[in-house]
Amino acid sequence: MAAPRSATLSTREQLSDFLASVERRAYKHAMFAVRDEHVALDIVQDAMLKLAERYGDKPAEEFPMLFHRILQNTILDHFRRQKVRSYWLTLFSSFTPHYAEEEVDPLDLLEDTENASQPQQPDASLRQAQLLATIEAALSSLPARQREAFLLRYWEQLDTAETAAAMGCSEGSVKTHCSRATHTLAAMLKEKGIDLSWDSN
Amino acid sequence: MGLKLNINDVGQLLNRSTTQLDYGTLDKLHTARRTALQYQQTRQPAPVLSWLNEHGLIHHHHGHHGHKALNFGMAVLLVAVLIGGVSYWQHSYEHDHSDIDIAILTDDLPVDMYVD
Repeated sequence: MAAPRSATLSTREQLSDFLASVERRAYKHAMFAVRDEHVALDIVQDAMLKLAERYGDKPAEEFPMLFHRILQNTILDHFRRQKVRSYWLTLFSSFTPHYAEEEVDPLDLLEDTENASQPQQPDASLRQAQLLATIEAALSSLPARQREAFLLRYWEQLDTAETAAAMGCSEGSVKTHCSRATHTLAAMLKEKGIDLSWDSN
Repeated sequence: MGLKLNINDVGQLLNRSTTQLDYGTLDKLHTARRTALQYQQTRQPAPVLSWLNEHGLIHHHHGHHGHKALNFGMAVLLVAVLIGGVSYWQHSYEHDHSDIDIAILTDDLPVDMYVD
């Protein structure tokens, strides 16, 4: 997507504002994909660095699309590295004894049920937390491309063309991914008693 | 649960979930942002333009008009340098010729003039 010729180059403040506005959502995006807090933080940090280093002087209007493209590529890179690492680990683990796996401290498994340091949440908050947990679990279980398309369209509010640019695919693919994601989500949520509705167009 | 949910509500719920991140995570995100900003790529102007800018020789105009004026100024500067260069070369060429003419007349040509 080409920027208009009159677009002005961004300043440090604009980049800072953009990163501040997107960092929490970016972290959640990464969490849905990798389900590990530390890895998700690393991915967000990498994505921020890449945006600042390579595209820090681009017009601010291009930041959302560029950042999400970088974020998704960084997540993909993580999975590729993990695949290679797990291949070598599996290869070498067959030659090593398995003592380490058996060393589990029983104290780690005990639940601290008498800890009252956290105040109990009111009913409404609890219901909302449950609803959110259900939605997040459903989103996490979606195929990566479908989840990506769904989140960019319905959470980041990018239009179809911007989503296509961020995902590096055609607008038709974005529509297909979104439609499949919505139907899968609706089916998953229906099992939990939640009726998800949307406009079909 | 027996709930009805619109697809746009999902986005709002997810937004709410971002406000519930723990302090440690927010702190790390803040640190990541600060680190990234230190590496921000900025387009630095050429040293000559910086000098002209510092001495107030370039007047900033917003938009396309200012850019055109700067380009025109640079073009004029380039033409002036070219004209200066050509006239200097012509002057030194003529000066060399007059030196040789005088040397021929006074029969005082240097030895290197006979060497090819």
